[in-house]
Amino acid sequence: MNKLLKNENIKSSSTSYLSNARSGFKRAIRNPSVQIGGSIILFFILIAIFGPLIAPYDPVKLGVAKRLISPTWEFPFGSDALGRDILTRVMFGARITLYIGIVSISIGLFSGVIIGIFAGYAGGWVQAVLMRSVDFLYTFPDILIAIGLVAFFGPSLTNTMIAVGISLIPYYARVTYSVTLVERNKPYFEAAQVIGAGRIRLILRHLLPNIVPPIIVVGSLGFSAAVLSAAALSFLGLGAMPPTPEWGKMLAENRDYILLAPWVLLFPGLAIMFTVLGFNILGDGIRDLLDPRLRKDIR
Amino acid sequence: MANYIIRRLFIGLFTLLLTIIGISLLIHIVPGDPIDTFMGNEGGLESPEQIARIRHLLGLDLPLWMQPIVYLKNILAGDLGQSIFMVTPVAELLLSRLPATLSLAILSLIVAIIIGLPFGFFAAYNRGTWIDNILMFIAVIGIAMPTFWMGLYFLLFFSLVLDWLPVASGDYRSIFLPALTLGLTFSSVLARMTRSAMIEVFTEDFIRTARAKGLPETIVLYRHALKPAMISIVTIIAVTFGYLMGGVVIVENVFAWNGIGRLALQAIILRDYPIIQGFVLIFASIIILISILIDISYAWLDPRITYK
Repeated sequence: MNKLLKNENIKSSSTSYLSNARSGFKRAIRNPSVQIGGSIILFFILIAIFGPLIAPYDPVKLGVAKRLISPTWEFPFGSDALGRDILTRVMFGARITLYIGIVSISIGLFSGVIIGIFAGYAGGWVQAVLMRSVDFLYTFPDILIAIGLVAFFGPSLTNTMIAVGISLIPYYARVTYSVTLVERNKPYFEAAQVIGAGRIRLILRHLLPNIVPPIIVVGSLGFSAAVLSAAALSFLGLGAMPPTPEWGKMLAENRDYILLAPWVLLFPGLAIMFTVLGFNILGDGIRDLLDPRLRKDIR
Repeated sequence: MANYIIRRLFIGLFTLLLTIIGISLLIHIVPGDPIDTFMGNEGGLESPEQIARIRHLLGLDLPLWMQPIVYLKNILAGDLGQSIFMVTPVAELLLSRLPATLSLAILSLIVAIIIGLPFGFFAAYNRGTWIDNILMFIAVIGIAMPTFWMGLYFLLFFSLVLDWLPVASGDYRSIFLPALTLGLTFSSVLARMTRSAMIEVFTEDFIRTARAKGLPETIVLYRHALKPAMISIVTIIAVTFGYLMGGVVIVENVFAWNGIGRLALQAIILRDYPIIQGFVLIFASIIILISILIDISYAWLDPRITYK
């Protein structure tokens, strides 16, 4: 679904703000979307890093509290069906979610950028075959690709991360490919070629820096896609296994108790929602900054 | 135009062919020997006859290069193989579940259109005002909410307020909640896309000209803005439908709706590979079909687009 958001208006043309990275950063800091999204993500990352240190209880020990107690001072988010503290589990879940996001994004980013550059450079039938397959995968909802792959890899958290990572490849490949096509035809690029820059140098010095800004947008939106997909897979029982305090898995484990204790599902769900929200808002904000045409449309 | 449609159909068929080859070979990405992983689940059932039977059901008794050919040949004969656990042909299983999945997807799409289109239109028309901000804020939240989480709270809400117990499949109310859940999620997506498409239309020169001529606002909207907007809106709806097919799999499992998504999840957990292959094939075909329809409707609605 997040593919749809990315589809809206990503422009890969990227020149002026690069030469002026510092003022770009200052401008970004002043953008309200970047401020809001950035704060949410900063909070999420801080919890992921320090949460397990300050969490009041053991995330997997059973019977820390009575079963399904409602939120109290002692257990601010209540306890789950096995008497575990939900606040503690949500805090540990942040670390797992961050880990899932980073691993999946790395897989998608690394493969996608290589495919994109390779296709942009190779031309001919290599380009046609690569980009046709990428376009084909792009028409599929990422959650469907991830489910299809996990079906064959077998259910597990590692396989979920790999599957989600693969489902993200088309985004990165497309952005990289279009930037490569634009840049390699610009005069400076030809000039660099003429003075004898090698292929590796051209890619590292001239191409990659231009890929960075649009990749930040796609990466931010991709992170939220990864978080949603991984949570959904864990919810379906294809990802994290008990007693891992993964947010989607926590929802699945306690879903039968929603009538008895409506709060058991509240906090893990809110955690997923705010994380996704943060990355989406941040991605939108950066995209508006990178694409002046769109900014004009909004204001 | 006719040429274009034929060409597009041809490309679609070719993609489908490649997909089928891919599906028949997917079994080989199963880590280790699929038979081992499969038998590992059961334990003590590893008589040579059973292994041979499963090998045959998976088509693994054939040489690698023949597997896609035989799989394709079988598909053309309407045979998608046989389930390992349920002694039923896969095609029969899938076909019996297809209406449930499609009706859920279509009803959800209708919900999404009813809510998302007017909201997106309204937000675009009042662009930059507090109305726009509030609507888009709601949409951003709607997109971030996990479908399965929202669905569970709907279940709670409707059982408490309206005294509907989680209703059994077959009851007309049983489709209402999953469709509402899925429809609401995608109405947010639809609203955002409609908004940006409409903003593009509203900033066109011919709209400014129409207003400058002093035409009443209703004429500007219905005569001048609506038609060009339809082109993008039809595409947006079709694209949304494609993505909705991903959500269907999740929502079916939240609400125990007996569609293909639920069947597929059971098959994934049991490692019933023939069913999984059939599930991937059906969903891939639906999505290929949608993308063909999008391209054709595009060419049909916008006379400026010509295809060579």
